[in-house]
Amino acid sequence: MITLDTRAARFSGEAPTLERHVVRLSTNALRPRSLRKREAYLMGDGPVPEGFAWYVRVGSSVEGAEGDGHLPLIQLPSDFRYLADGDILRVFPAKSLVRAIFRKGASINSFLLTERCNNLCLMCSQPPRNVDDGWIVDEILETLAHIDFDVPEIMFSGGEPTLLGDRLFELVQASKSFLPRTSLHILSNGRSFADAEFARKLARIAHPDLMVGVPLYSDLAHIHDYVVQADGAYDETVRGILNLKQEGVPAEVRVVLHKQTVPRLANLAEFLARNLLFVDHVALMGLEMTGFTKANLADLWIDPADYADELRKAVGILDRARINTSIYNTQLCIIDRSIWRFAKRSISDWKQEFMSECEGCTVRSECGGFFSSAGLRYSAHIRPVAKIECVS
Amino acid sequence: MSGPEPKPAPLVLSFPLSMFSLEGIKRATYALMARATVRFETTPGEVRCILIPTSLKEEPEALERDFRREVVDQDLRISIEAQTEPVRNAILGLTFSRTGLQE
Amino acid sequence: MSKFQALKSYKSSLASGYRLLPFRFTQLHGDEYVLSNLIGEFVILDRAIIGQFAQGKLDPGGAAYEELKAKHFLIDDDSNVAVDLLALKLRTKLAPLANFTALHLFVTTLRCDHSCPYCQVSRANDDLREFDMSEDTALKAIALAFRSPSPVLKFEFQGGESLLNLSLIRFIVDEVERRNLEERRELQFVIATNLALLDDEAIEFARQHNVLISTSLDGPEDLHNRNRPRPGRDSYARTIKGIGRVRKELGRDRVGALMTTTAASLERGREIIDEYITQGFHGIFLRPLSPYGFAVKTKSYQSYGQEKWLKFYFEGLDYIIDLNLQGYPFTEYYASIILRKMLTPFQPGYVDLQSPSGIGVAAIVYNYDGDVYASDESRMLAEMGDKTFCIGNVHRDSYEDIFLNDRLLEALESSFAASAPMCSWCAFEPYCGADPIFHHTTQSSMVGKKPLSAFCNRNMAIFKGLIERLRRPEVKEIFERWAYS
Repeated sequence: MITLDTRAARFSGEAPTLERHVVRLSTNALRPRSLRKREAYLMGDGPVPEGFAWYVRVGSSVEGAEGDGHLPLIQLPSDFRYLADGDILRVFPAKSLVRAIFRKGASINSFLLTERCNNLCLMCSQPPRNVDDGWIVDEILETLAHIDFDVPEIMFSGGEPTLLGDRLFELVQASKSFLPRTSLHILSNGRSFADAEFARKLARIAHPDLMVGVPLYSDLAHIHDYVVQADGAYDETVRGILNLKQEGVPAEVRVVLHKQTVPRLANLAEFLARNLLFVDHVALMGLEMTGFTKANLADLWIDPADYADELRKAVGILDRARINTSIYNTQLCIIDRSIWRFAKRSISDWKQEFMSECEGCTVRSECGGFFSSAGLRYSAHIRPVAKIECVS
Repeated sequence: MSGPEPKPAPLVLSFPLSMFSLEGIKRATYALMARATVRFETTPGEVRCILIPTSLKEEPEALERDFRREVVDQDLRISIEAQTEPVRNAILGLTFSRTGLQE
Repeated sequence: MSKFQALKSYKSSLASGYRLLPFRFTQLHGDEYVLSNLIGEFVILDRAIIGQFAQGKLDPGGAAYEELKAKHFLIDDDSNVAVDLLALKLRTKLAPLANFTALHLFVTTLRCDHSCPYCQVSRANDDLREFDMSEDTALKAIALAFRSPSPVLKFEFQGGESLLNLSLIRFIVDEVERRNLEERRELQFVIATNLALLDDEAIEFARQHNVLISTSLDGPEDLHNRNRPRPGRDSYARTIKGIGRVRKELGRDRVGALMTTTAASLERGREIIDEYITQGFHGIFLRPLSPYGFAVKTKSYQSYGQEKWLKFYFEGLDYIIDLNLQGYPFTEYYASIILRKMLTPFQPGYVDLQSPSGIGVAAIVYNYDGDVYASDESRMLAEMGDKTFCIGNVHRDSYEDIFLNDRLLEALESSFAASAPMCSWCAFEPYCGADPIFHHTTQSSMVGKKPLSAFCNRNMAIFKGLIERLRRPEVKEIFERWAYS
């Protein structure tokens, strides 16, 4: 698990500003001078180039090195030794706050657009808060301008991104303008797209590589509504998916696997094959032990080994219907061998871990591993896969 | 010289019009035409169906049971068709509402 | 303390009653009935429950209610998006109709080297050219074919024996390709041939123009040769040799085979299937007995023929299912067409199982003499003396004369299943079709009285048989694969 933020950053020297702002990190001593004014130099052993807005030192003694004195300096604990060229920091000197909001080398770069949400999923990994956090949009707009444009993919999530209304479209447009070669994945409950005009507005931006990921938890409305704790959500979500596809926006269906969704998983697969055959992808996802999951564990927990059969059947139905399907966040040893090819390594590197039971496993490098939060609860059937099982 | 061909015995079934519809009875006779030809006699409040099996092998109990079942089923169908006609038209309206097609 | 509501509070809207969506029901077996919705999605229910359901008394907490709701047989205060979804699915099913005629069959000659007893159309005399299609006729037919709006145009060459007039086929293909430089449709060419006369020239031609070969294989050698006599009594040997040659020189998937079912075939289903496997095919079309050329109007065709044929069909199907379960992928094509209608939102576009009927709408036949027929059966019927379904002639009639012909329109309209008695209330109607030519031939009525119709009886038996088999999960997986391929 990587540390992304700290309130223990030490600031010294003449700060360019005490307000919250965003800087790109550079390790290039020959960075063009005009760009240095809005970037931070990540110090190493070599000579220190002039002209940067900030200088970042990771992990050395609290007093700092000699000659640092006049530089606008940020000292970070050694947890931040992963920082690299192209990463982006949120810096808030007035509150001694630094957060790595973008890491160029990360497998997935996700931006939280807002903490507000109109659902309240039992297993929400980002519990909503009804706050006025419009400043986040401004910060992301600023960040997008700093991201190197060879980054392959970014993600917008929340909370519920579509609650931003037109500001969401501003963000999508900015992604298109600043990062035309970067895939954009938006996670949304889809309900706002039940308004066809809203879907149309998104489509009109014509982002070259956009996908909207929408959760759907059952073929029966009342079960979906229960899981997301919102009456009427199911109908809006389905209409939202239909409108997105009608307008030519790629859409995927995401299903979190737990006690409430697993019993009718095969029925849901059939429902998708009959009614939403044209979705671009279906993601079946293991449960993450964070956020609300802990509070609702009794209603949610089922050992994944106990739903291996339902999962196999559901994947079979989707695959025969030629729907592009993936399994995320589930370990290989507890899913049926016949569906291993659908399992993708999806846990962000900064969240991924393995357990002691994994000792000696020969397929570790293909396996998605665990969320670090899994320590709370994970399958009782984890066991290393022996070499002989690997032979196809 | 052989005698005239034996004919199957006619089966007479009564249906009170307070409980069964004429339309349903007609549909049932159509549906079972391979097994019986049917003549109607109507009196106020009642329809009498005279069924003549088309085959000597037809068992009268089976024919009666199936005919009565068919009449009940047809009445149910007529009721369902009437109940669902508005929503059927709504769906058809939606189906043809856009000139562009989804796929 | 919990801000989370229990499941039951999301179920409260179910208590306020539900409304029926359009559906039909038909007996499956005893008290078990099949219910199908507007687009053919089905459930199996006990008869008693149907009554409860229709009267608004079905318990919202029960499994039947959940299944009916999930499969769009009802809506309630909790959810009504089913209406949008049904409209969308119906649109998907109907959309291909707008493409209109995709299949254009050209009868290039009636000359043939075989003299199969079940064939109505061949003239044995090899030399006479009066039974060949002329270039002038071909040009006019091609012009009509391109009037179709279909983005895909499939040109199929038949006879007699097509390869006896390869030069005309070549002429037609060249002309079609020339026109297509501007038209830019997707083209497919198929030659139906017995392969007895396959030579280097024909192979080279097929290679150059990407032509598919469709041949006849009625079963093992003795059966095939008995059905399909030719001088030398070597039809089978030549067919097998031809198949091998096409596979080797054009490609494994460039040749398909069709069987004709005769009384002799009915006892030998397994052997026929085994023959197809031996010859490298991955599927077979178990075709019904053709009514054309037999004593069509007698009842003996209808009842006798159907029972034995159905036994043949299901023995073959079950054998094929076992083959699949044992790991050999092999498809029964008639079942796969029906399964595509039953299990997917797609329309298979098989001419003989469509309503409105596929005659003229999906396929059209241009005979050697320029006469235009609504289907191949229409042509066979004409050879038997009944020209009811001849809808024009390329030398005399325009596209509009032919396709807006009263005979064609009447056949399409009167046979439309959704308005016909029996069909209009049949749960299997979404899987079925209208066959005005068959009903005209056997009952002198294009609609036909379905309870007396071999077409209806046969198809209903097949629908029920497939639904019964779908109840086995391992068979359902096989059938789903067939349906989506």
